[in-house]
Amino acid sequence: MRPLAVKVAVLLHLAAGLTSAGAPTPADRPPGSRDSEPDHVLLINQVAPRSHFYHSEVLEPWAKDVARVTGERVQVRFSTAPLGSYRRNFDMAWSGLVDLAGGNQSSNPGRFQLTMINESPYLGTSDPESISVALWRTHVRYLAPVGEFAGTTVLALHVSSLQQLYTTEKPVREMDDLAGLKIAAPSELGARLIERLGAIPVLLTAPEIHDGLSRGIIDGVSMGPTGTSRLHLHPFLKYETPVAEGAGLSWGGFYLVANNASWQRIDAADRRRILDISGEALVRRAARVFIERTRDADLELERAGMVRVTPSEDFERRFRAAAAFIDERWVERANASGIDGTAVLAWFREAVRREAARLGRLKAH
Amino acid sequence: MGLEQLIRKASSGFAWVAGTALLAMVLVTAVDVFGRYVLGNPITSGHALVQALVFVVVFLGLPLLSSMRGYMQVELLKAALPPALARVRERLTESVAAACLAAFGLQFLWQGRYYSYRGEFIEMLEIPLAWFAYLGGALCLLAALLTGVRLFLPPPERGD
Repeated sequence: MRPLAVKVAVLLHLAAGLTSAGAPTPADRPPGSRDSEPDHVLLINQVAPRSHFYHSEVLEPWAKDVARVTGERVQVRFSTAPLGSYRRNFDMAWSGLVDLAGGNQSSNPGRFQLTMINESPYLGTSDPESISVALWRTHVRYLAPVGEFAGTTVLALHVSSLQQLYTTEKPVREMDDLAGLKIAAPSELGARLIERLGAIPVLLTAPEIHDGLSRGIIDGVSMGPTGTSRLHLHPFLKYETPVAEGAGLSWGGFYLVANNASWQRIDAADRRRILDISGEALVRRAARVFIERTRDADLELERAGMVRVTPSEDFERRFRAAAAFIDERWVERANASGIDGTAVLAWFREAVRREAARLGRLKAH
Repeated sequence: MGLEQLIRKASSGFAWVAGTALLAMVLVTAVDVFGRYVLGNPITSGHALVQALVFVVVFLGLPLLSSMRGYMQVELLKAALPPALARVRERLTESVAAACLAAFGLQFLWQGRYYSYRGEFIEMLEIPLAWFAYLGGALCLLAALLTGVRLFLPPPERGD
């Protein structure tokens, strides 16, 4: 073979390897047989940097479990770099560019509205595990048929950590303290809440937030403690105001989905095995990691000199009134989607309460 | 009105609309920066608004450039080819450009349908993303049409 032909053959082989992730099981090698090559390699777009705990403590262990429970017939391979922008994660899985993808529902405003049922801070607990489990069960029971994730198979839906309120120079104790402050918002919904509190929401990307704080362009952020710590924002932030009786402004939500065609190519028994370690099991695992990392981040922020400011009763009363629109908006959108919004929201809240009570984490902040 | 005149009029129209969008972008940026640094009150979602206007300016510029033959060309072969072959090369290049623009246009329209189905919008402004995809698609198809029409018109004079 000539050198050029060899190169072309190698390139074609590599291209085939990229596009045939999740190729059909060879007929002569039934599921259950061991071989050096897996039947299906599911390519997952890199969701978080490899050094991020979400990668090392949630996705990587799950990927190992997938290989373990399927006897190595199905393996998850992480892309070496992001194959597209974070906002396009879902589209990449939907279109089959990758087999698996994860992301935040809030990254695509307007798209995933009903699976953001958990956004209100007044859920009776701030325990991510209880809320994540309730979110997953509500999705399975009521929200999946609406089809927000149509074209994909949802493997997990969970919350991360509370989006707290941090400020640079001004401690926020009364609602009037927030007037005119420029606060980096975590999401479109967070921005609307910040606006209702009298502050000015600024939608920035993570690097822009660091830049905005260092240059004094913004006066604070609404973000989880893990993000605040990881982005190294605490040198610029002096005060934390745990609003909503410590629950925070709102929650961040994550999803993990598989391309439907890739998923269906996997043997039915292996699909069941993967589902057994995904769904509620994965949701619990992710939530527990967030609980631990949030605890670490809180300690780190405390050591860095972050001052906790307890908001006044008047602040709490006005905050509750301002946040009421979150549930109202959700019910309105759920009703428009053809489900009984009030009843589903009540079911979700009861599911949160039951799980929090079972775990002994009611009102846990 | 001849075809050439029609294209000139259309070019002028696109230039005005694109210019207005550009001016709007400058104004929004200026007001946003002034509001942020001086009044402490920036435009909500000013960043997203500017991004949307950049999209409008860029895609409004496509048919304008096509009608003026204003796009960048790297003519490595022009000097080496005899005049008859150079004309063939030029027609071929424009045909490929028209086909590419049409393909982009159709892809944008498909994307618009997808965004419309998913209901995604620009944060805070709640402007559907589908509108922008449809606009980009329509303008790409118009640019393809103008590039195609140019194939049947005499080549422009130098400096035209």
